[in-house]
Amino acid sequence: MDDRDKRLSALIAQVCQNPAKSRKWRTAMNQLLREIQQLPKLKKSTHPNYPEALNLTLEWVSDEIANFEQRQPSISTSFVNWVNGYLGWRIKDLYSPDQDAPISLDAPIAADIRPTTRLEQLPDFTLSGLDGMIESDQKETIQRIGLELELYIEQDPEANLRNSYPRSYPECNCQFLSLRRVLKDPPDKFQDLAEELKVNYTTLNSHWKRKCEPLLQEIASNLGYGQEPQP
Amino acid sequence: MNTAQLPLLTVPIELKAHERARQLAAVQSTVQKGKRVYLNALAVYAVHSYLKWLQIETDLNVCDSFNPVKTALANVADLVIIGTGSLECRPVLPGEITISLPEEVIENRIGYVGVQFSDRLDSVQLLGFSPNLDSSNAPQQLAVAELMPIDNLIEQITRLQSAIAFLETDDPVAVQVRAQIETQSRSNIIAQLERIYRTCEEYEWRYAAGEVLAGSPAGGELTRESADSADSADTDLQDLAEDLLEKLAEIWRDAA
Repeated sequence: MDDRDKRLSALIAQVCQNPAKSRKWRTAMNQLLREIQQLPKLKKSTHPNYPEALNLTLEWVSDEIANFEQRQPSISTSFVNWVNGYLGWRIKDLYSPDQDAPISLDAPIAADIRPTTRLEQLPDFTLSGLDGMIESDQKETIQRIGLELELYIEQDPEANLRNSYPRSYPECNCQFLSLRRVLKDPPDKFQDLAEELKVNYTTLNSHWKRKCEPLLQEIASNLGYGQEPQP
Repeated sequence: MNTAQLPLLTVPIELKAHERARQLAAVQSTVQKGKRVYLNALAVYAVHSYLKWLQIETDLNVCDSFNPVKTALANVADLVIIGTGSLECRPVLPGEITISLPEEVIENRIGYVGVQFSDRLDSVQLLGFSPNLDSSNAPQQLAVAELMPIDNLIEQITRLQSAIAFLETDDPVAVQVRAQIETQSRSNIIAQLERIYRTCEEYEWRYAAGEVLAGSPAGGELTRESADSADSADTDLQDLAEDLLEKLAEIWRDAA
């Protein structure tokens, strides 16, 4: 038994000895996940959604660990084979056309000369490429709540932001606060705003939370954006 | 066991996460805000995936970080752990050694997870955990080097869940506390009490926890005013707070 074998066998035993979801079970599972990620023979794939296959596999390990049986003399070999057995199928799923994923990666998007699928059109997700991708996504998006809200704040056409302020502090109104907290990036600190307006910090902070935030929410829903998140 | 020596956990980021992050980023006013929203969403999604492996249930659909309007209004990366509270999952970009904490993520959080990004966005690493902060005296940033191993998050969640479960019982202290705090969020109260248990001296518990039950922002520090102006209502509340914290301390010590 090498060191990895010893660690794996101890961790698997700990996970199986404790009830699922208990603190001891979770602590041991956490350690086991670390070990799995270090296994050199874990199956890999170049498919862009390989992360999903891996994610599903780790969820499965967490559900099924009690059913693991050691079949080879080396527990590491036996364990990685067991994990790869499931992972292999999940990788295979990625290439099957009838994947019931919420985004149909393999659905043709246009009847072109050569059928292109969304999968082939996926950008390479990198930090350095993020600005460019977001910029073009934003250009293609007609209804942008972020933009519409900011325009509304600037114009405040019905003066309902301007007219909401703590008694005797008209400067500390929701339009002013929104300009400094939402449009300004990075935003001003509440403490600095309180000093600038010579208003008590708690007064300003609670006006923002109790009046301005709900008002902005209401404006957003009047602009056609519900409270519910997008599916 | 020295967990500091252990390799960091890696969380794969599936395409579904990118798809949702893109939708949120596309409706923002500027590229800069879009990027902030995108990375926050990926960090939250990654911690959600990780907690799934540990069978800790979360709900992305009620998170501000996945709400197009809330993300436009504030820099938030909250993950709602069902029945427990909100965990803030802050992105850490290559080269950064601190995690900045915008004002909007100090209150109503059970703790913070640092999520390390690299140029390739197909996975992230979990840098570690920091428990919730005193909202009246919170730092503007956390040093990555000072984070606890991510394993401590499990401990924190267990503590909060056991305390919330205690509040549901027929124990006379639990019944009285429920009546007192009916309008406040139980998970938020428990998170503040846990911080007092963790960071304050035992003689301070009575006053600090009394303030939490009274619904005032919990300073956790014994102030002159709160000690002097103790009228009988305050005293009753402090008695209750003290009883509660002693019960919780017992539960938490047993679990340790």
